[in-house]
Amino acid sequence: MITLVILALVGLFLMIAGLFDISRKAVFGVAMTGMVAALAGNLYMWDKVPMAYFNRMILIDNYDVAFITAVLGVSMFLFLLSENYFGKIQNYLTEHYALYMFSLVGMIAMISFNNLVMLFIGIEILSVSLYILAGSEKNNLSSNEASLKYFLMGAFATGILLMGITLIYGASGSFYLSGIEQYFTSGNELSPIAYIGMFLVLVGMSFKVSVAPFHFWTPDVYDGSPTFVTAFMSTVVKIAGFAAFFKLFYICFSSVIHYWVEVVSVLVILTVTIGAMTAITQKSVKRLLAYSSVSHAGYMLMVVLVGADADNLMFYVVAYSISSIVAFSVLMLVQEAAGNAEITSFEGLAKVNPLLGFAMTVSMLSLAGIPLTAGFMAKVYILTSVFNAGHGIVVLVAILTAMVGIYYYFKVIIAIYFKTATEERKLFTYNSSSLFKIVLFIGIIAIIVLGICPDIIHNLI
Amino acid sequence: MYLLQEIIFVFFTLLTLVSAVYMAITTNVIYAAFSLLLTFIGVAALYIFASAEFIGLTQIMIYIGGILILIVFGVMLTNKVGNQPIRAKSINTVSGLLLSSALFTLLMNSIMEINFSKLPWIKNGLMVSGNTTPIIGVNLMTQYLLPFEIIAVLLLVALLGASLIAGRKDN
Repeated sequence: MITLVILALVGLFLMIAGLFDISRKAVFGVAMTGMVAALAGNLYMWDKVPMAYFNRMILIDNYDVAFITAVLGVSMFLFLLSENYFGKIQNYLTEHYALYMFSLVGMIAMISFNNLVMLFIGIEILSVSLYILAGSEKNNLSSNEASLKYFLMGAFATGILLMGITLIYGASGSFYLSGIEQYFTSGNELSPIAYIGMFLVLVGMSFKVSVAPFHFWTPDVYDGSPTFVTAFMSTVVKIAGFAAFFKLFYICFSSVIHYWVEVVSVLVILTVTIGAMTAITQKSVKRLLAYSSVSHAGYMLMVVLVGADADNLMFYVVAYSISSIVAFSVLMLVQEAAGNAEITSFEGLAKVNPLLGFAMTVSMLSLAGIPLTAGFMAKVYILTSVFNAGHGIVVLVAILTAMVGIYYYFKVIIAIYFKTATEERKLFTYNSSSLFKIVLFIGIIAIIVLGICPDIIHNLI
Repeated sequence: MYLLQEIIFVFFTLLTLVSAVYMAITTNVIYAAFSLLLTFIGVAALYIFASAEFIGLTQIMIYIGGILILIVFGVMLTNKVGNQPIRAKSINTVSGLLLSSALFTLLMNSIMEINFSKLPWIKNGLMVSGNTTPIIGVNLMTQYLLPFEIIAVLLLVALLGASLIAGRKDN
């Protein structure tokens, strides 16, 4: 709760600060301090008795503290890379920072919700901020397109989600998670609107976390948005989305799992397959990462499918986020030097700039799920629990598509190490500040350390 | 008395349905905007019939008073871009029809199957008689205080977004 208040106040403070002539560094400092304070307030709640606030609208237990920590930690990590992105924004700088703070408020509301009203408002705050941020490069047509496309599709999905929530309320008579849980576990005959409500909520949430076949917006939006925003959407937002998705289904609908388990397993299979198959033909690394994020969403959805083991989800989102951030940070630098995000721009990167080449390689290995990386352990945990839950086919498809994944991730690695750069590209200077180097170092170390001793994060919740 | 009620109900239902269908099939954007007006009025009337007069009036104020006026102005100002009147064509008719009729059947079937009087919370719930507005107000200030406050953040984000999009471009 205090986390939410701090972030909202920091957002407001930043907006007011925009009236005065303050330096970029100061704005950055205020935002970072705000996030650190929020993180401290959040960590203070760790291992306390679950606390309810405001008539149980928000209920914070270890699950919420862990996911809020992940959201805040990853966004701070990401903000260290924001120099180039914010440097390009000439007008309304503080307003952009404020939008990020408010989107974090939305994420915290949707992670720690105990009432579907809070979930809905949280998702809306997050989505509206993202619609705007996706279009924050106003002179770039594809950024405008991304914003509009995301807005139209997102508004449609919001409608579906809201209709689902309404129908569930119509059946159970409660917006509270405990009330809905009671209705589903009561053993009475369920009203038909409860099923349709569940189905519509599933569709709405699947859309928000870009699960196939509701992923059509993802590639265009991720490709068109500024790369920093893409990184934000595919890591931080995904953590919050899946935390809410899992919590909702775990608490409310797990007693009627036999009604939706087949639907979700079809969604999982579709997501991992479509994500991997469409990523093969991509020539741009940014688009490739967009499709790979669809495919990773499939793995995260497997935790919802099993309906247990939140620590697997936690480990997966952390491993995936760190690997993605490392990949995106290299991508940002290469994109700035080369002017585009094509795979050909990465050719010979290892010779021109060994650190960037190595970082990209480690993150690609982790995303592909090669042993000794965090991504491998994350996949092992999830696939084991899916297998133990008796979904053999899902595991089989996941392993097959992971092999396809190795192909397209290695395309980037091959470009980095086994192709030679053009003469012109050899002269590129990669404008990596010390912050970038710190992020890359921490990221590489975290990927490897988590791959070797995953228990640091796993089993926490 | 009862008959009169039914006649009024059927009138507003038909108003809503016919205008909604017309809005979907017409190719003229201005006609569509005005039939949307009728749809909103019909829905507002249906809300009042369900003794949710607060929602009904909110519907009129927000949708008709705000959003629809915005749409009509938007349509009028962008109606002739380069001397070409905007026409809304229907595309993907077959797949759209299939999808929407499937959804319609699903919803219709389940609505027909609901036994409203059997829903436990309706059976045990209190009949609200008279004005619901004070009850909503009290609930917003007590039980739903936090969502009510946090919506302020949502509105602020929306305002920020509007000014960012309409504001001047970077050089």
